[in-house]
Amino acid sequence: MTSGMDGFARSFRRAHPAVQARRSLRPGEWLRVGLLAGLVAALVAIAFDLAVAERVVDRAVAAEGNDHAAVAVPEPFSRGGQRGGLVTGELILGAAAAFLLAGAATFLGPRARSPRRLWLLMTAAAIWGVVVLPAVVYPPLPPGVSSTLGIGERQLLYLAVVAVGLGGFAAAVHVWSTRLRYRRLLAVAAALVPAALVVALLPDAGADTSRLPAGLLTDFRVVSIASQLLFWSALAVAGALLLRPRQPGA
Amino acid sequence: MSVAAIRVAARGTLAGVSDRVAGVVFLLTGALLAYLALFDQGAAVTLVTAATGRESLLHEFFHDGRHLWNSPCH
Repeated sequence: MTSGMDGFARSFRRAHPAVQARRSLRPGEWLRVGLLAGLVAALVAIAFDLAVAERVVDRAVAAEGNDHAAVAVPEPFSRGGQRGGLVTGELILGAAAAFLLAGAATFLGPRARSPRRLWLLMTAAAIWGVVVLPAVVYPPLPPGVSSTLGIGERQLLYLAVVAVGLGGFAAAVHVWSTRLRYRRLLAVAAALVPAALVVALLPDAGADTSRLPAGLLTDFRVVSIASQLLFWSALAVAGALLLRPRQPGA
Repeated sequence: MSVAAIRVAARGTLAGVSDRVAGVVFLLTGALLAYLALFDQGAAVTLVTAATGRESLLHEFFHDGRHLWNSPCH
């Protein structure tokens, strides 16, 4: 194909939003894919949580109970209730991821090479910005660990890490798709430099993990990160299967 | 430009606007769901259950998930 034809096709798409919109999916179609993939992701994560992760959480809660048994504050939910909360929470997060990705895809779709590629890039961005970078800067903490920082402060710091991670990933994808000379190197730098700054500059979580039983902290971190990786990987794979290109005539 | 072409162009623009509105609504819905599951410490629930005196009901309900999702819990 000649570049002249390419240029014509590109300006035609730019001139006609209807044509441009058809290149991507409609918002409702993105949401349908997202909700189906989100349900699959939630079910995969729930299976892992109930079979593996909850045993570690139970150990942490039991140790927490021994630690300050004197402070007998009645808990509003039993452990069984909190297990129900975990299942509900994963399902809600599956829906939340579906809405957020469908919303983002509505705006990014027309710029992407294909819906499937966009879906995989968005889930990869989430794995980097929501799972990996927060786990490096503020590794997961089991129940029963106190922190010197207030909850509001730690929530803001967590959101800041997520924002830097997603922003860096988006910048990296953008740089990768340019014609710059060292675009691959620059793309890696676009993701890693802000991440390194976050690691270096943000305050320590100030967590006191000295009272935890031996091995619990590592076990908890492993199951926490595994659960999140399973969720996002299942979301990525399920979405990619739903968005696979149709064979002509099929 | 023929009337038909104007109609096609207008429909395209309208579809563009409604798509954007849908996109924004999706983003806000997703953010609200993520907030309820991962961040709320009582603000949302007190709107509903101010009488019960349970301050951070959602926090306790989603307790395990918040820890496993690495969202600051308490």
